[in-house]
Amino acid sequence: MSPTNQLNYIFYLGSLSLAFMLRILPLPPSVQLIAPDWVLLVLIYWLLSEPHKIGIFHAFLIGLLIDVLTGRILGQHPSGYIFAAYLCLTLHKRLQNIRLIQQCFFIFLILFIAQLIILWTDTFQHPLSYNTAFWLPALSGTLFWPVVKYLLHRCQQGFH
Amino acid sequence: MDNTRNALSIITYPLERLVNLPPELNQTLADSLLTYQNVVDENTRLKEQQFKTQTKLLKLAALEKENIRLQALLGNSFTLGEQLLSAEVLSINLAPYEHTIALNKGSRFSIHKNQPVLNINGVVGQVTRSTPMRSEVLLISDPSHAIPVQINRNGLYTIAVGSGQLNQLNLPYLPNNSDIQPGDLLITSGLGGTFPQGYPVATVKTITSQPDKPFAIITATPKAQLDRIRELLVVWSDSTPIPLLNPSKTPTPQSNEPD
Repeated sequence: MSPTNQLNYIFYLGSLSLAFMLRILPLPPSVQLIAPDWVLLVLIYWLLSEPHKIGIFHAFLIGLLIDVLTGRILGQHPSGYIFAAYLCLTLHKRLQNIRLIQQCFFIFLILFIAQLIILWTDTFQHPLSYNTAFWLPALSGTLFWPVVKYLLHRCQQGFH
Repeated sequence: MDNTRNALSIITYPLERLVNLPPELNQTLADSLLTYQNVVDENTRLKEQQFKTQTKLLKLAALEKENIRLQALLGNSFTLGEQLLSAEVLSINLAPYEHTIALNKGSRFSIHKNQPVLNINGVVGQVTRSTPMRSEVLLISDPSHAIPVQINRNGLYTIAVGSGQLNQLNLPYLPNNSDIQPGDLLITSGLGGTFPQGYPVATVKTITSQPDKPFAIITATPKAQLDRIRELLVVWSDSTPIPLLNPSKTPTPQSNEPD
């Protein structure tokens, strides 16, 4: 492994850890309802920028860690993240070549589907008690996507 | 499956500690930057409080023994003293739609599932899962949580269900004509076996009778202010029944000193 690759790997783990921490950061309940899934956003960034190195298995492991971190049934987040990863990997060539606005539309769909799967698996544990605001994290995630992409891209370039 | 979770929790534990660091640091700083006068004041206050509670406890011990004697005379079983362990809330958020909190002590301190959790004001919730380093607690205000309670004034049994709001419990199973008033104290009834009997849970807030429906709408406010809890007590209740009165071997209640 060349030095740049190694640095990249450290950066990958660092960005994910930061996203994990943002995920469990205590926030006021009103903000909590619209807080985006930072981990999934960072994961999507890495899936799109390094599709040959980072794949479904990474999505599975990260999802498992999130389950442990947030006390869900093991497998809830992996199922959502694996689906998102599959979509990203099949669409990554197209996503790299379209404009940011169009990209955002795809990101919204991916976030929404992943969230729907996680919400649906919640019903195994207790009756579904979603409210109409349940899709807001997908929307806020879409709005944050250009920021996340820009920041991670700049940092990654800085490492090269 | 639990082993997988325990193994993975070793990876996630440092992240949780990192997130918890700013409040912890804040607390440490606040503790170490106290002025001398503040410390003296606090010490005086605490000494006074200690004196008062100690005096009350003296009486409690006598009452407890008397109660055990009477219960034994009646042929009832009685719950012996409980053991307590203090734990702190980790400032991390588990799930947006659920009222769960994480404690900084877990199965290494032999905390296990279904243990009741209290603070100095009243019942907070019960342990739903424990990994080596931390445990998860479901609050009594979670919509999926129900706690068997008793009205302290007249001993009426009912169930308090979480409402999804931190400052409200619902009592959906009391008929319109039941003897309940605003301000009544609800204590744990000990039925169901999870919560030991006699701890305060909530005070009744509003009662709206529904003439066309069998049950009234009753809400209560939890005694423990669930949005500002920091130190909690995890309880091991030793509910060994006491045999019928036997003069040669009078049962002695275990001391319930916190660790």
